[in-house]
Amino acid sequence: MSIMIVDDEMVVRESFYHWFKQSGYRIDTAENGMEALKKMEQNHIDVMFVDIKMPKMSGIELLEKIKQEYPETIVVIITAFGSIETAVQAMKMGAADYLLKPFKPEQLNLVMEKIIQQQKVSAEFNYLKSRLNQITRFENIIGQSPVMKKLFDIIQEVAISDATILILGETGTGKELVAKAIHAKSNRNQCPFVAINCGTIPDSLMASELFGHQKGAFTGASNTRKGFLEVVSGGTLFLDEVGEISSKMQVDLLRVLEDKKIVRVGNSYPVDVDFRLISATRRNLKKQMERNLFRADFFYRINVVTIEIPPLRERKDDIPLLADHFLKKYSGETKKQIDRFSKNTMTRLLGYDWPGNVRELENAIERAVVVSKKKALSTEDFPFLEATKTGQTKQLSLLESEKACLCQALETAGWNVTQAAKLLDINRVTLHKKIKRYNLKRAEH
Amino acid sequence: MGKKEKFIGVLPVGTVSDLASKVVAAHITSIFTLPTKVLPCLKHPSYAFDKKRSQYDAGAIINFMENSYMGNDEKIICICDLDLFVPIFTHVFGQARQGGKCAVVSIYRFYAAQSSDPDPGMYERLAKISLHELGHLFDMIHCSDERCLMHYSDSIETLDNIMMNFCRYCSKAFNTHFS
Ligand SMILES: [Zn+2]
Ligand SMILES: [Zn+2]
Repeated sequence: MSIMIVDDEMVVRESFYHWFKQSGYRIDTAENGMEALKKMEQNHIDVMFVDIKMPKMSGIELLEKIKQEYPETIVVIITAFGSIETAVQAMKMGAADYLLKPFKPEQLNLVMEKIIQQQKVSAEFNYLKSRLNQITRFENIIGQSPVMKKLFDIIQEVAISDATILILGETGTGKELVAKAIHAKSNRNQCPFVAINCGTIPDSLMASELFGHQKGAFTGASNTRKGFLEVVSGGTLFLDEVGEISSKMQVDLLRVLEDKKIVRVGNSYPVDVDFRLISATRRNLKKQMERNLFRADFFYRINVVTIEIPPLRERKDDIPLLADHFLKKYSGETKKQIDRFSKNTMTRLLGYDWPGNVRELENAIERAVVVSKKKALSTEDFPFLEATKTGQTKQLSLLESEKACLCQALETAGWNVTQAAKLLDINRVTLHKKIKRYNLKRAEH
Repeated sequence: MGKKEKFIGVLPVGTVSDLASKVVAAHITSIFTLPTKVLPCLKHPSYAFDKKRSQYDAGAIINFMENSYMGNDEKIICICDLDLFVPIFTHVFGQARQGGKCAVVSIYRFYAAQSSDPDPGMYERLAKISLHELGHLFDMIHCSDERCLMHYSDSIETLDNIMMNFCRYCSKAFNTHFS
């Protein structure tokens, strides 16, 4: 248990210090409220003894701040004879106890025993709470909102069949996690799960990536290589951004799905393959079909079951749960002792629309954990929240101008990514990444 | 328990019976198995007197000893017959700083209630407190075993409940200090 003494009198700090040291506690001291708050940004404090009468920031003021920022820190007020009223006020404000200075050694002992008992109870409570958290996770998908519970049921149901599945959801909603969950719950879970992002593989390489190639099949094919459709042998193939696949490749894949055979590029012998196909897209494939950008026969083949993942803004009740999960993950990874969000930060996170969905939330928290120097993340660790509040910051207007630039090029090129990339003088993969990052969408005409 | 040429000094401060110092020295020798020496008595510590509280500041006595006493002793236990306090507490039986050189203990609060007659238990209590504070000087911390000398006693009752020895864990901690 870590303890801090806040008192302007050195002799008082010293006597507390020795007593706690002798009892084997981790003990720190602070001369005033400011120093205490500063130290608390770095280290977690379980119990704080605060002198009520201090210059500059009074014990009451400090108590108020502590209860706001670190509600689980237990505060014991130290008061001199004649200030009982203030002590009573402090108790009303959430102080756990008070000691009238000087006190009998057994009184301090008693206060500590009470606190230890209280800590034990809350530790048990936290343990039970963490058990509850496990229940709110399905494979690695986090959520307890009704829409997510429904989603978990659907996953469970469709996993055992071998039907192809099309997952629909905006960018960052966790389509791959859903695909993985289906794989994990299926009979194929002992075989590989292979994920391919069709948006990042150049058209020219797609065939050899999927079907493999024979040595010498084309320039650069110095070895015979198995394609993903062979590698997946018996498992689940996940095609992310399936809307990006060219029409020719759609025909080739359709044939594989019907014949369960593939032919390596540069070879003529068919090889048997066995896999389950799960596809995902953030595009409206029906609209693409109307424009002849997506083949209807392929669409119906890959879309025996459709699963829709709701965007984060439609399941805002899950934001605190997700935010806590990512905070634990990244504070653990970075070994930073950040364990909470300041009160109004969570309110602001809940108020934001999250166009990039869960991934945007995860990235925002990762970034905040990296830059924060405090024990609690505050609104200033999320600059985009500040920006939405006070209008545009310089950084945002820069991003906005890039976004506008990308949109313009895409519109000019009729949303042909390859052509738009040429116009912008960047490569196609980069443009895809940017489209994803800014969540750019073709305006529906 | 191992030892060096150095010894534990038992130092009477102000008016205190010879017997008190002798009892403390004898117990340190038998429990800690360390050589002890009763040192010549120091004069009354008027510098530690607090007028407002009419008590003696234990911290002031320790500071004075650490700054001015030049003996060759390993550790020093000051024995007195004064009402000791530290700023946060109404009184203390004794005081030591973790891993420090000097401790101070007092027999003042061990007399029988309402009388200044010697209480048969008073020397035993003084010995227990001395061994406890000496334990702190050897970096031992409080023990939850209510019978152990390192158990924190905030009253005569808890002190009387303590046995004249260290529990298994505390003995081990003390031995590691010397190895
Ligand atoms: Zn002690
Ligand atoms: Zn013990």
